[in-house]
Amino acid sequence: VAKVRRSGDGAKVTFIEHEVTVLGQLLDGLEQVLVSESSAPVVDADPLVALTGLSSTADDVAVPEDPAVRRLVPDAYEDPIAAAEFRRFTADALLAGKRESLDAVRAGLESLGGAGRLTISATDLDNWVRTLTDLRLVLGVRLGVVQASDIDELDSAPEDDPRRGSYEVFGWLGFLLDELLGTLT
Amino acid sequence: MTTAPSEVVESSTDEEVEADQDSDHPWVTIVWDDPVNLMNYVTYVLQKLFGYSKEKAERLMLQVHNEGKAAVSAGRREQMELDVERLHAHGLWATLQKDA
Repeated sequence: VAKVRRSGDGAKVTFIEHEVTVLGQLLDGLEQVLVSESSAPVVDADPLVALTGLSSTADDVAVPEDPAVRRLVPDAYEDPIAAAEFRRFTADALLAGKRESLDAVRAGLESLGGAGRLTISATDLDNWVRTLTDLRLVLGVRLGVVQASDIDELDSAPEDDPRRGSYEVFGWLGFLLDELLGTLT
Repeated sequence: MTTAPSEVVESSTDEEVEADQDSDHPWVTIVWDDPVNLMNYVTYVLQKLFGYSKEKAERLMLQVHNEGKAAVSAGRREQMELDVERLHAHGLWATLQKDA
């Protein structure tokens, strides 16, 4: 398993090859989630709006279909119209920022080219903890984790549970994140 | 939130949330508990974004964890929208609302 230690203001992480492969695949998956949403056309549900092109209110802004995206770009207001308006003005930049962090992590991982020790700068450390968090949030949604008891349920799931593999990855991401945060102490 | 908090970098400033709560600044940013984010990550984000001391960030993090939510900043609506956006950029579940 990955070994993490502090190195100046950054960190050094020693990965085994399998971890580099899995992390690369997870980053690809997260990128698809982020890209799919930002490139999705905004569909007007109201045919009159579609016909006339009138959209004087914010409530015709599509709420993301993917629950993982809804978690990454959550409602900022309880009121759905205010939330939709906020989303319309901020979602693209928010997703672009998440892609930038993801790209920084991937660049580091690719520079490693397999198993080995990666030096993460202080700046990239922030990109790493943010991206590992996004990966866990998406995986958490896929695993159906909405409250703390869902984690307990997964902890006690039988060996042959189909979610087992994903949950182990979820746990490993948490371990890596925790270790990296530990270097910031 | 999940797992035990760990120590995080000390911050130099400790601006109190309450300082901004007057009639001209009636909006608050709320962070909500979620089962995925690590407790020490939430503390890290609150220190980084708001410049809170480790003690203050941990106190707010524990309030989120134990009570389900906490007001982490207060001020004008535009500023609170910016705070919510920055918290979302860090994966925290945040909303803004008029202070009750």
